[in-house]
Amino acid sequence: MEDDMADIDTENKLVDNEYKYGFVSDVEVDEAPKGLNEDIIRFISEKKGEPEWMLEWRMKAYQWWLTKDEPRWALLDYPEIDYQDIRYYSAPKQMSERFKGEDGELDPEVKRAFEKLGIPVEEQERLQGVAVDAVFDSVSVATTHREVLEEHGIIFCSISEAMREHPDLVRKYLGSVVPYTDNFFASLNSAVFTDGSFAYIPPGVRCPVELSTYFRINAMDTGQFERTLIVADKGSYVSYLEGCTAPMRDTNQLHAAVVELIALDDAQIKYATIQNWYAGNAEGVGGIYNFVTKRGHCRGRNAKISWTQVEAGAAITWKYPSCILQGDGSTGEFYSVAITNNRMQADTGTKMIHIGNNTKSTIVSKGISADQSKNTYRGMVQIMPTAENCRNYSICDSMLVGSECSANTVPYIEAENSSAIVEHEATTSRINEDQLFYIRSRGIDEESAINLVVNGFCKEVFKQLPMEFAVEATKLLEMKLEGSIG
Amino acid sequence: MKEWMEAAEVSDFDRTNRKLVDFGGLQQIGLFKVDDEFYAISAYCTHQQVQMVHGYLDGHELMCPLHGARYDIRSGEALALPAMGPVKTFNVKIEDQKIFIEV
Amino acid sequence: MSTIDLAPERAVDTVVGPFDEEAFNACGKGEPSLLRAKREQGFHVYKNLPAPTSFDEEWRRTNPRLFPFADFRAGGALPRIEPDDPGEHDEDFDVVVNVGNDGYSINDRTGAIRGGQVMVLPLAEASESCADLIEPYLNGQALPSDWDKFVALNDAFWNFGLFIYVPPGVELEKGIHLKYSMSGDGNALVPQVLIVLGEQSQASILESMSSPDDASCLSIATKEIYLQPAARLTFVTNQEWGRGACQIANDMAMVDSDAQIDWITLNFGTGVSKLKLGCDVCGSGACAELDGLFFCNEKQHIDQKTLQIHSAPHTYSRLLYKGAVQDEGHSVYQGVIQARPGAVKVDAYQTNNNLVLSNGAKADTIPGLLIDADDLKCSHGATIGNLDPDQVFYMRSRGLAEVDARRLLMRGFYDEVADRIPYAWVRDQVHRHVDARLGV
Repeated sequence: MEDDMADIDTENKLVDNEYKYGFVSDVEVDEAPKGLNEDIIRFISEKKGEPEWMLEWRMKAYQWWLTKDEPRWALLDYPEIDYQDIRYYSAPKQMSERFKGEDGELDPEVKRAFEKLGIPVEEQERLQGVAVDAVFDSVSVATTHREVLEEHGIIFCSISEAMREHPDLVRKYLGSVVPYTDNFFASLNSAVFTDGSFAYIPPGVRCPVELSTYFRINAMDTGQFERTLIVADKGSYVSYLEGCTAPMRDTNQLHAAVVELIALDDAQIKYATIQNWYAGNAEGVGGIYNFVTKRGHCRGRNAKISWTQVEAGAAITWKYPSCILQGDGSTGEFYSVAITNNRMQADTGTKMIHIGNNTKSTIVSKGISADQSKNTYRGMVQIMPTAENCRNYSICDSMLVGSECSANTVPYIEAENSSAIVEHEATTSRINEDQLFYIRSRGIDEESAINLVVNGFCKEVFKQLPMEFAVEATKLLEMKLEGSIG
Repeated sequence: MKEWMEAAEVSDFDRTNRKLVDFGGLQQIGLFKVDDEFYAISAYCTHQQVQMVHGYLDGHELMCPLHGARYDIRSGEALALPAMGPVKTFNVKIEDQKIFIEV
Repeated sequence: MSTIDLAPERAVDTVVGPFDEEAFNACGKGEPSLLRAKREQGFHVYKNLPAPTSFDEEWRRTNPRLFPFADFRAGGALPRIEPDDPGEHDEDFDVVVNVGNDGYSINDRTGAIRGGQVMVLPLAEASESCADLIEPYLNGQALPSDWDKFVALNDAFWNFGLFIYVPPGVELEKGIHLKYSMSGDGNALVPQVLIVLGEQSQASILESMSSPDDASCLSIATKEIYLQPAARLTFVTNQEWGRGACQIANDMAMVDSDAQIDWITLNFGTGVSKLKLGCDVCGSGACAELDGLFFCNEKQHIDQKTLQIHSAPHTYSRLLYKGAVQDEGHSVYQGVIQARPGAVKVDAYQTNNNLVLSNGAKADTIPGLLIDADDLKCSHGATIGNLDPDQVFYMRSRGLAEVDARRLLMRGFYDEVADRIPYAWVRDQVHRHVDARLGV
């Protein structure tokens, strides 16, 4: 079976509506043995050339993780994960001696993989206006646009590099939004994370290009644990995009990432994700387990953090990008489309915690369930007693396509202040038959009609995405729904 | 209306640095001794309202054992997420080797 | 004052307060075997369910420590006594059931019971005199013993049991008043009420609870309501227990095809209460209209969970729960709309509106949708806010004093539900409660 999977012919046999990223790249890797213990953590830290304080932090996180139980309160059904049966480090061999892709030769297979995904890693072919940090398995292999960014004083590199080149910055902010004690998966990530992106935008700077990271899992039986840290100093602005894909495999792979965003006074961070991890086949075999902790801290006055996500993949998704609105006047936004089909299960949502005065939050969540999938929105809006004049508006709609799927909405709202205004509405229904009928009566076939209705359903979220991503998101949705109607 | 209620004896702290004081209902208070001074704070973490008196005490910093929220037991100030806000503090006085908390 | 173990308690214990094996053995002596079987099953389940702690999701926002179970005795069966002097508003009802510390009485005011229009009798008597009739409803179809620790407790330890039955086709003209007036004698009140409406019958029932504010009372109640096809029930619960009282209630109605329930729950009383109220519209054409009002002030804590369960296609449910919190009041509302597989062509709506009138008061709302069927429309909405300052300004600019403006706005807020209460004097009581708490 493993040999079959490595068979390059697999790529050529892909049918239109199959996961087109499901290919495997034949790359020589440098990897740790399976299992998790203190030696593995030391191995990772050493491979990365990390300072002593980083290794200490990892160890503390590991000790904490050992005392915790996996959370099982979400509406998700999956078998026990054997944490000892995972490889926590696997890097393309040519990269393992170097820590930056820019100056050295990139393994041609890796380069080819990214090209196939449409991600240019060579400077000359770079996407206009988008700086890319490409991460292959556990290692950041290339980062483009570096001179332009340096001119503005913007730091954008892999987090391993940041730890060596800018240790004070990293040490100041790492773990301040998601401490290693936060939850089971965050603790695990803190102990074994191998790479991710670091971005620092200096005061008053508006980042001229979009920053983006593209994650690609390739090796088998590995887990992907990346850690992203973005700091927007006073008055700065950055728009960040994250994309991810993985090969089709029979077994499940674990992805437990942590993303921390910090916005100081008057700063703004826009973070968009299109998640298209392999979701398993129609029988629910294989697929990525996506357990992610993402949190933004509006630390300064009038800070603003927006999360936009299109969740179209992964067998299991457990993910609640949240905003802590501490600075007075700060704003948090969450726009999400989560689409589940086959036997996917998603339990996702957001937390908006209002601590400062005059803080605002907006939540727009659209869920689409098809086949036998399960899609749950779980959110929390909390207004602390000292938070004056806060506003929240949430709308969570679910659309059911098919009779065997389920859609749940569980929003938690807690308000302890008399000047707060919180409004929440949610509707779950079948795809609107009247709309379908109208469109079809104009001569459009059923599948296209459904795509039109679904796009209308999601448009409030899609318009938050940069244009190219919006186009990709639309196509992704179409692909997911193909064959699900009936 | 505040009153001083007997919470513990000074000798209770010979072998430990803390006590969970229960005044009934939801009035549970964590009483700590650090460097010969006594401090009293609400026993419940402001994150998920779990009782945290048995958490890790490092100097004047108490860490809730569930998710790692940290508080300064002197002022009640929240020092680290996921503590969402400060924890309530109470005045403490010692009379005749007995410790009183003002509730 | 006590110093207890440092690490918080995890569920080890199964006994709640005085409700132990000894107390169980003192219960239900000489009961008919039909009832005895249910009691024993209840105790068996109770023994195996852990006592609640604040780590349980159900109790996370309502700490079980708020309930002083240990201060009460399990209380022996309440005896039946002769009806007393008529109470206020008795003339509005066909049957008045009064439950007090000394016992309960059933007053057949208009002869409806004698005339066979309705049956209102103690559970024990019913399981002997009409065993065939009551038996199908004793199997816990609405509320099985393992539904909740306190349903099992009630099944094992109930000390007041009532069976109300309206025969098919009967339209009970004036209805029934079930009135609880307790004082703090240290005995817990554990009522179990079973209501069955036969096909195409119609009735209205008012349930009211009161006690003096300084009386320490505990009530652990269950109500099971079965509506046969095309039956109609209007049910109003006017909970006005005093501030010294605690209440845990579990109520469930099974609404069969084309039947309808209009259920209004008023929660103005108790110091702390936890209520779980549900409706299962389980036959095509069934319809449930659930309304609720509450006001938590001073240190009140009211926790309400409602369930709109759709087990059959072509069913409808609508819920509106509104209330205010003030001072250090804390209200928790959790609403679930559940559409089971196969429940197509379902329309379900749920709205929860909360007013937070002072800083430090807290309103938690958790509306929920659990949908396992398609071809339906279910929605919920929740709001939290204060009285609209623009509206207050407008009224003041028309010459109204601020306090009157607020009173009017509150009246308007509550009247959306209060207007549906069929008893004028109960409506007035709602107005009086709201005015009093606003300080008018």
